[in-house]
Amino acid sequence: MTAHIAEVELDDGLDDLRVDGRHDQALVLARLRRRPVGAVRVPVRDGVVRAEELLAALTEDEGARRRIERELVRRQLAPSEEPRPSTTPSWSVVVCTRDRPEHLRRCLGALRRVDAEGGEILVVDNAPSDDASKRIVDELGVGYVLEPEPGLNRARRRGLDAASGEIVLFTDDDVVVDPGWVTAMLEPFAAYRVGGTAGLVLPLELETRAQEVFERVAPFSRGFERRVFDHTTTPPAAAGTVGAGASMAFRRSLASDLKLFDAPLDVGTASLSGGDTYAFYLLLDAGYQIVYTPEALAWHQHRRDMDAVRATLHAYSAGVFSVLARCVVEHRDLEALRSGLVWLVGHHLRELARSGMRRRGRLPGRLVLAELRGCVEGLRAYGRERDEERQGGR
Amino acid sequence: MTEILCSVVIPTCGRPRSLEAALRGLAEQTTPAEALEVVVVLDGRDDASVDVLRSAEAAGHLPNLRWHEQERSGQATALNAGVARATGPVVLFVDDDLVLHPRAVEAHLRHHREGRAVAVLGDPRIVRRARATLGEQSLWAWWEDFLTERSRPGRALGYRDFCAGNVSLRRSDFQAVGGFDEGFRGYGREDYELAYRLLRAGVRFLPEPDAPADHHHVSSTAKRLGRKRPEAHGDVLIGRKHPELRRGLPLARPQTGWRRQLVRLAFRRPDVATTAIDVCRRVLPLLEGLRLRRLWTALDTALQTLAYWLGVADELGSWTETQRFLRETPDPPRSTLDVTGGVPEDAAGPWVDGPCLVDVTAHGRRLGRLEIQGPLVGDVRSHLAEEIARRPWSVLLLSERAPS
Repeated sequence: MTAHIAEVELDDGLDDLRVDGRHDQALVLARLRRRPVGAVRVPVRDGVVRAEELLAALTEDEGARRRIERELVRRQLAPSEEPRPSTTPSWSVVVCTRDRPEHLRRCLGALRRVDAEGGEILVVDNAPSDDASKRIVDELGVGYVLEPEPGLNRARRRGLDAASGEIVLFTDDDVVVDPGWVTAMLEPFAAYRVGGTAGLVLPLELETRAQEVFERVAPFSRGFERRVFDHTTTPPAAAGTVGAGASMAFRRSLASDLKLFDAPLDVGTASLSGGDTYAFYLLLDAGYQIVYTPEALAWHQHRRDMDAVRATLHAYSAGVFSVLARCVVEHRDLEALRSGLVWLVGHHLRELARSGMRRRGRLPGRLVLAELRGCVEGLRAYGRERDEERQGGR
Repeated sequence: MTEILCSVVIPTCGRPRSLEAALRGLAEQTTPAEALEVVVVLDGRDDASVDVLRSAEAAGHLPNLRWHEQERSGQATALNAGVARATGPVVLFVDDDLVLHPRAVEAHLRHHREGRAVAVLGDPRIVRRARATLGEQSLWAWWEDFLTERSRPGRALGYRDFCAGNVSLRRSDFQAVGGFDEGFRGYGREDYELAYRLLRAGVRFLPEPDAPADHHHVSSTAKRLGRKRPEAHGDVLIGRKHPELRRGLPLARPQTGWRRQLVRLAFRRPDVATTAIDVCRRVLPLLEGLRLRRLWTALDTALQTLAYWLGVADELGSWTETQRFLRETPDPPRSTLDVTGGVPEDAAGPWVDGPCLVDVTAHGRRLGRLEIQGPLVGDVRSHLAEEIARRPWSVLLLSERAPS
């Protein structure tokens, strides 16, 4: 079932929402003083989402209710403005793109509307086949860097080197950020031990079945509670649970020192994805904290057709297992080995069994197989890379 | 002759290279060297450091450099001796492994211009390698979290937020409370105890992130663990001297599960406990090599807990005695805080003087109780609001409002 995406600001009061009549349900993001507190699915009747139903859905969602209560209690206790950090660091947003000019235009449009000052926007044009992206960048007046060799990590690295801000934020060209995104992503860096942040990413649209499936299988969202990750509480091998490349930020000098994007990973390479996961891994492994902050909101354009979704999920599996293999072999990380086995059995084989046994709520069979093939491909990709290194010499 | 604006006191012992770097940092301050007086106290015989001092004197970058040798007596005695020989109106304590950033002294002195009773807390930031060992990481993490927490807006400060490396205050305030208690001879806690007396005397604490210093901390697991026992001695000494603080000490925290077993081991078989620490700490590098981080952290925490309670056992002898020690504390003063319209802007209460109990009420109803480990200074209102918001009973505040 597809859904209309809507937002409400609870401080403005709850009224009936008018939405277009194409869908019979809506995914409504509730915000309180701009802070996301929860996202609920509500039925749409004759193009209207009724306020009582929305309220009921929010009350039933325990997490949302708790967050709303917490905010209201805070307001009761200290009605005046909350303290803000006195200095915000300088920042650079890096968007890596490859031959998706229309997506890029929309992405940059949103970035130019952010409410933070003291920063720059840089586009890294990765192995372009024409100058369409460059023309858009020139038209919109943001920074431009060319990275002729394909590879998302390579492009990120190029962006990192070109950036001048203390904090470098990354997002993808198929993402639309909220105006408060930059400020919210920067705020946790006031804590000394924080090396990176990740934000909340919700679907920009849920117009096709493929998008619904993707949102179910590999949602970007990590929930609405702020979380602080460090290696004492989270094994770095579980870095994939921290966040995604669609919305991440790092201290620039740290990212360079730790060589977060040096590994030949992600789109455009044999591993197909995983560059963001590996960056989080390295950061956690070095003892730094990563803060997941749902206040930093962005919307991701999921692929619309099933073939593309299958390919994406195939790529994610490849990336995960390529990264895990790297962790086990290069970092001698036994936790990564364990994570890999747990994930293989707990997710992939389980989905395969459910698919085979025709259980309710199972994933499409071709998708499960695509994911499994991805695991194998990821391992092989890493194996090939090691072979090349050994033959070529470093 | 230029007026001395600030007397820097550096206690040192057996770290000539660090001392050299610390002095260099002072010579490169934006505050003119003529306005600085540097008093180095050698805690015990230390010929290598004397050589460093003689070279620094000959180089002439710090025209008002002096040093004093004392018999090995500990940090507290050294710092007191340093202040006794200082002449400036402001004293700045700098550990010998700290290198102040060039604008640090200037940032400290900014707050002393109006002659207010403040202690300016600069940040000693540990300098770590990008790829540090788990032991180095854990120490660095502790410091960074400690510094971040005390600089957080909306937080009030207590005596355990003070640390004597990179802190400045008026010499008169220091002398008025009697300086450091020289009964603290081991590692640590003499600064916490001084901080308590400063707070009670009305000195405000001001974190100043613009006065940082690079903290070149050289440590090993053995040293890290070796510090816990004297820290416990220090905590007990604080409790002996100030019984009202006993319930806020780390040893007052309830111990459950395996921690409780470790505490019992420390009291019943201290010899076994000591050997266990010595043996088990050699397992840590093995766990680290296999990247078994959570196991490493669990074992490291266990060893630190054991070492700490060995220190408590040294001082108090038995679990029963410890419980008695914690019970024999004066009843904390009680007060009521009405938050019907929010926490009052000018919320005043016994928390400025010391630990207290606060009954929180709203709309004529008692909501719950807060145990506050005062004395607290700074943004007390935000601090109280946050403490209350954390309690589950704070939700009761909402029942008087219509739901939104």
